[in-house]
Amino acid sequence: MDAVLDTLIPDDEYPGALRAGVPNRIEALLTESTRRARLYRRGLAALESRSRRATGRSFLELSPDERGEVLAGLQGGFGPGPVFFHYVRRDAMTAYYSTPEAYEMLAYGPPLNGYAYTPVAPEGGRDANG
Amino acid sequence: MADPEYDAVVVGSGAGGGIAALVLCEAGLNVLLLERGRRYDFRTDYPMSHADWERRGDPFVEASHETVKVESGAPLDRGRPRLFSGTTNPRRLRSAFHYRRVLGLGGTTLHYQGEAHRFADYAFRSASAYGFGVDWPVTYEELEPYYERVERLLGVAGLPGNLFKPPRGSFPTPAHPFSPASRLVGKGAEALGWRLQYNPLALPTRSVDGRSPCRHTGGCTSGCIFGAKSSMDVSAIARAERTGRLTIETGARALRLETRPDGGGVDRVIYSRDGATRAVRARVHVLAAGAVETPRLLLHSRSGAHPDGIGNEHDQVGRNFLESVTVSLNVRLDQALEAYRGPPIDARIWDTADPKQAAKAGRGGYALGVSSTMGGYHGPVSYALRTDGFGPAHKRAMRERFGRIVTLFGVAEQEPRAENRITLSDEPDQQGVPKVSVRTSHSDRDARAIEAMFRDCDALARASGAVETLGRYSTYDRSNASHVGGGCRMGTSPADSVTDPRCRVHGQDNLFICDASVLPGQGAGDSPSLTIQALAWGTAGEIIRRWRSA
Repeated sequence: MDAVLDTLIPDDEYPGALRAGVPNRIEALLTESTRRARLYRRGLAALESRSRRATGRSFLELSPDERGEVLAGLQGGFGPGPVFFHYVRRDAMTAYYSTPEAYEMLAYGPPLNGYAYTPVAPEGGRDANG
Repeated sequence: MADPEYDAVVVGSGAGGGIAALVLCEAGLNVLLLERGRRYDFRTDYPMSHADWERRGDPFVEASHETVKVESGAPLDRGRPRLFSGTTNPRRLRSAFHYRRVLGLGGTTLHYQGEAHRFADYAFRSASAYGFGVDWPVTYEELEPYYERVERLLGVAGLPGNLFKPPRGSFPTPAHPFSPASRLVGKGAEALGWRLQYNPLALPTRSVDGRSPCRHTGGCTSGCIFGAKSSMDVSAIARAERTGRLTIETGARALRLETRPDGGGVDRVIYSRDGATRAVRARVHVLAAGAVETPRLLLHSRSGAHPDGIGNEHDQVGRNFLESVTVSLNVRLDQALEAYRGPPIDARIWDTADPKQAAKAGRGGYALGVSSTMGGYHGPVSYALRTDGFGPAHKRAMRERFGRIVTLFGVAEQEPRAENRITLSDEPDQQGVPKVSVRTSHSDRDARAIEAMFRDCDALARASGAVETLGRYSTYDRSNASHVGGGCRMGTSPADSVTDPRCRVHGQDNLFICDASVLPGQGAGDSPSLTIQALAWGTAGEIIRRWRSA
């Protein structure tokens, strides 16, 4: 699972999924939903067999670029592979982009802190009463 | 017959019902307010109070198909691809009618973005100005004093000087400063000879009634976590409760009305609550359930005396239904804009609403605007899910895009047509009430407005330096009504209207309507809430006048 998350959101100048603690969040999600957990198990199996078919090696033995290709290859058609791709991408992005690490990368202040707001005199325009 | 339990019962607590309840209570009437949804606590119940806010849906928006039977939409003209959303594979039929159905104390004001527009004077004279629709039975001048009162109650923020509206006095609170995105689009507008102007907003910039001023979370549509947005629950209804004369029943759904056997008007409202059917009797009845539910309620109130429903002797209930004629364009502007902050729609362009130009082009007027969140791009998660792919490229794209995507949009006056209508369908909902069937399509005039708005939004995108267009959307092929209206329009004759100019249902002494269903037109692209509220204030005044002279 970690290898998939690392492929979806790798480290660069900023922390990726692994360093931002995304695996724990995904694990919590799978504990909550047995349905989602089963979907992931089947998806990971489909990914592994695709990897062996396409490269002759396990997903874990592949380089980052090769992992990206195999993972992208899961898309399209029907079956556990494409469903897994859809959900794991969505779950990983949703988890990562609500971490402090992602907020810092995007220089984003989360709304629940409230934006300090001081009314300032608007520029331009003319007050009809003025 | 038993004595009435209340002086007045108000069905629905949105823009119209909230104001009606307040004005009646303050005049000394004992009022029962029936609301189908629940009451929300802004401190705890809205998504933005939680770290995972982007994963939580708007709590009060309910599925449209609970009320509206899903049917195939009107046939479309595929020979005019520029009317369509996107660019490939145009649909043959319009998507099924869909609207933003909000349930909760405060109604759709829980979800709205606070746009508080006075309609322009010519919007009340649609037939004279555009050559279609009808001239309203009320004028701007008659409504102006009520506009003023509502604005004061809501603490509307704005700046006078809009040249496309009648002259006016100052706003109760100062305008919000333009967002960085609006400043950029403002330069683009200027290059095209238009003016981007401050949008009047019921998002006070100073404290009103001890509430927090707007804190710029940009989260208006999912419920304001500071209670700053002047939705009806925290403003009018909170004030009405302080009179001690307001009784609120939430989870209470009106099912039908019963009239008095002597023809003296409405006798009882039959409603369901906690799984039981109940009845309440009042001297005055106010329907404020919105432009879909109010016609439905009247049509469903069939009896021997009213075989086609109440107020429907001339087959007018449900006709001249209005939705939103809209286009929007999601564009990326190549500057750090922090587009996720601030009021979602802080600026509008009204130059394009000019009635002479519109009449010459054979369409309604429209207003353009810039929105930070309308396209679904708000926080980091929404950007991430709407950005294709994964891996290093996705992460780079996120840094490049975040906070830079805004929506340019246009909203037009729709041509009211009798065949755009709501009827009862043969499909019952969960409580056995027939769902409505909504047959509505865009006329040739509406289509011309769509073409013109796409042309203008494209020009505005170029002039504002947009580097990428991420989506085009039009209501021509994709139904998504946010401003439903009409269906019980006001007028002078029962032959072509449902209510009189004071919003009393023709032929019913004690039945009034205070919601968007009375609107004969859509205000040339403006948002309807302030006009619904001003009309409701005037109607409540009429009720009080009759009450005192009775």
